[in-house]
Amino acid sequence: MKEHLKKAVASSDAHYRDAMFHSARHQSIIYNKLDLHNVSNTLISGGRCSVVNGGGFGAVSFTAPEGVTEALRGAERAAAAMTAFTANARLAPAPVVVDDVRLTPEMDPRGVSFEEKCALIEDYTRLLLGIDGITTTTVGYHETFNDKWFVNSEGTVIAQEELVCRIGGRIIVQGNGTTEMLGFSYGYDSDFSKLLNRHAELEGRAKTALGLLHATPVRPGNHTVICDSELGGVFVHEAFGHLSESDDIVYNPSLHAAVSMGRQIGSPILNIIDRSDLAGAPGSYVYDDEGVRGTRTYLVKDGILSGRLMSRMTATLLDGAPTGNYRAMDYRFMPLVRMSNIYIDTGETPFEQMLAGVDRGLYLCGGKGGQTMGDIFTFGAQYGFEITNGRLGGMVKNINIAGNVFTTLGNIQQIGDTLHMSEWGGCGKSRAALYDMQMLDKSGLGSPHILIRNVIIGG
Amino acid sequence: MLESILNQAKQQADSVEILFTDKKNAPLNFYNWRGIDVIERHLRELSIRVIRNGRLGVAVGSLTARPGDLIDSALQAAAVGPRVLFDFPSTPSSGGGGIIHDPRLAAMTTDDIVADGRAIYDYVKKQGGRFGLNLYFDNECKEVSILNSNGKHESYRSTTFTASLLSMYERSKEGINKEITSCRYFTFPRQIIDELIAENDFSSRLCEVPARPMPVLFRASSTWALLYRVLEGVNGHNVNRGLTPLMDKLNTRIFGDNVTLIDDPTMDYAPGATPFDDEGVPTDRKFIVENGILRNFIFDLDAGAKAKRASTGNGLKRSMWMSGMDIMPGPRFNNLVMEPGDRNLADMVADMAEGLIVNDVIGFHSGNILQGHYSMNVGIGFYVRGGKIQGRAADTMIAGNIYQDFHRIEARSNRLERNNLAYSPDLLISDISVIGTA
Repeated sequence: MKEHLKKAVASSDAHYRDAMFHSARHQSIIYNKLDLHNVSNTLISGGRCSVVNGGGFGAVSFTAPEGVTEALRGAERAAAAMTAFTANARLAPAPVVVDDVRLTPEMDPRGVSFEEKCALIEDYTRLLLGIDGITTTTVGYHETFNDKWFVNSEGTVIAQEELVCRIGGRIIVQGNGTTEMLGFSYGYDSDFSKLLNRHAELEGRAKTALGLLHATPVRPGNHTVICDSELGGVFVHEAFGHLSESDDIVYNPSLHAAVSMGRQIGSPILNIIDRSDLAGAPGSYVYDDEGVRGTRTYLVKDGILSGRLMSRMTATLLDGAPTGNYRAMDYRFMPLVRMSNIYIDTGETPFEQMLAGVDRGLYLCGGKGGQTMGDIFTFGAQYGFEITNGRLGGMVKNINIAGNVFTTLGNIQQIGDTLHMSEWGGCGKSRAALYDMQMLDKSGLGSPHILIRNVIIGG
Repeated sequence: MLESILNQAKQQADSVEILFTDKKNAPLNFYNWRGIDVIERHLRELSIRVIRNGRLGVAVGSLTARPGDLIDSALQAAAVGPRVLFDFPSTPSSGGGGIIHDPRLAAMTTDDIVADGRAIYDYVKKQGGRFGLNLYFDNECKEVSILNSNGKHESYRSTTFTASLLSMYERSKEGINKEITSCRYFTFPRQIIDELIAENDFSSRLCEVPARPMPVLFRASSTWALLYRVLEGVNGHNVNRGLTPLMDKLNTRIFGDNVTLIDDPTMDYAPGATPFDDEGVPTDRKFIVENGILRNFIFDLDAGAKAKRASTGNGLKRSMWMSGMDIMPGPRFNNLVMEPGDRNLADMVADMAEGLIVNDVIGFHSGNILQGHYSMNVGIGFYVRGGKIQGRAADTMIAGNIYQDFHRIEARSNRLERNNLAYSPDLLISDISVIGTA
């Protein structure tokens, strides 16, 4: 395939051209209670060619393996058509790379039989259904293997494997006149052994789900809040992280001004990092989809906006350097600038000390969806607890958090001393409008506990 | 080619189904007067479902030179797959479905669409619009074929044209979105561009909204968030699992008598008006809710068989934001239409003593969806007093429950617009809990 792509790329004299081919195998096994509800195997393969020529940028994706040369011609035509509107497409320099990335997970899920995977799901499901009050469960196993080839006209030739497996699901509980649901997820890495022996944690999760039946709706208003690492991760990803993606600001001067480098947005204890080389984290990889090696980028350092995520094209327009974050869901889509693993770096306050310092507030746990509009964000917490005089009290639910991201980041007063990366991830993003959404699996998030003053909570 | 894949699979399975799409499309983005890009696609994808010894196996993928890999994969999945009670349908689709193909779209080029985009920018500029504005176009031509071992072999061709204008507020990448999707080519109506410009002007003034119950005018662009609760409520799987509060409510009143919801796959030029669903079951027009009375749940083959009844032709490979081969079929509306009323929008606004207009919501997934509850941030909304728009609603949330609120729809506009779940009128609902900051 490599030679095929090289030949196609060599057949064009456009200023820049690349060609990629991608085979992906995705397996899903889903149980509803102990009934095997769905088994699916997806075997997709196809490619994408991109051309930058005369200031125009065009791309073509295709499924027929022999279609690469024809696709490259199509991309040339598309790039030419684009110049009728603007002709500002240029690529920042990137090192020429020749590499072959193979994975060697401790326990390779590709070597685990279908039956063993089913047995693991059944084992966890039995544990859940054995607990009083749990009426329904949906537990699934998901595995994705990507094999990618990338060649460009500058001499870069990369073969790269990516592998993710995870087990997760929903616990549905009924009682006290209501139905509640809580999710869980383990693994989200290439190592199958991370999915094993999670019984104690799952039991804890089930107890939390049952607790929701008797939890009271949260009091709306302004609260002092401690976020757990899951919620902190969702907050930093949804509310802040997307504003670091340069493709959303490159043509938007007013948003660009709001996130100008050097702006103080939080206290000096705040550091936010995007890092694609974090071993075992859901969003780790070696090269992005334009052949640039992923790296560690400080988005916020000591409370000051200090970096953003760049593709080769946005880097030319914003006078920066590519950061290796230009990634596509698969060959069908044009890459977008995406977070790899985003997290708030550790601070110095142990959780117990943080809690002891809150007279009246909320301890909120788990993220539940999220959406932003510019610097306004909203998302849910899965559950929480009242805090009174430094102690955890009754459980609360129906928690929605909304606010302005910069105000909220500015209100972070303490950061915990232990970073926890979530064992789930993924991110949806589209280009100019809410169309052609790309759900990217490999995007991780995390945070230590964080204490924030004046958080707006709606019920 | 497809026949030979079917025959090959038939030798090793009791029943086989092949769904195939040959699709060309070209999403084209214009970025704020300054940038543009396009990705043209030509994708040939198929899904193979096999039933062997009562168990289902599925494999989905690209049509490559070696379809045998997909057959093996489906058979492997069937060896341990879920037990199913259904077989693939043989019923021919009796010419149902609306007109969903426009030869003009099939002949359009990327250059034509670049010209359409430029024309919109030129018009906005002429009208004095100076705000951030992204445009999105997609022109899709698709041929869908379904074959199964019970003799079904049918195809349809469709075209879908989408155009969207997204204004961007200061310091934001979002703003007001106006979108149209149709199976027929259209020039973006100037009236809707004018509305975008006006709403963008109103937005320059931010209003603090009081926290108290008040009438809310849900624009057609936002009603999907409410109707999504109906979808979950009538979804056959949720009925079978006893999760929906509607399970015992068939032919009883669930909403006020001015609520009529029809699943209408016969509507011309409506995306979704196909003659058969993604499992080959013929579609038909049916009431979901008729004058407030619940008339039908929706079932795919699996949910139907579990309920000991037939599929309603609603097995679709579609989720909220995506559709595609790799999504498993589930009960979805083909083409939901909410019956319009007789009011015009301007009068509905003029009649509001105090209220909120909601164009778009964020956080639609919040609240207990199955129970009909919602608690959402108002993404784009306007505060109204004395029948006049005062400005954009700042930091406002709305909360309620459709099983109560749909008894209090006071007015419906006379115009249908398509959002991402339904063709809907604008809805004025009284006494919605509004949580503002004033």
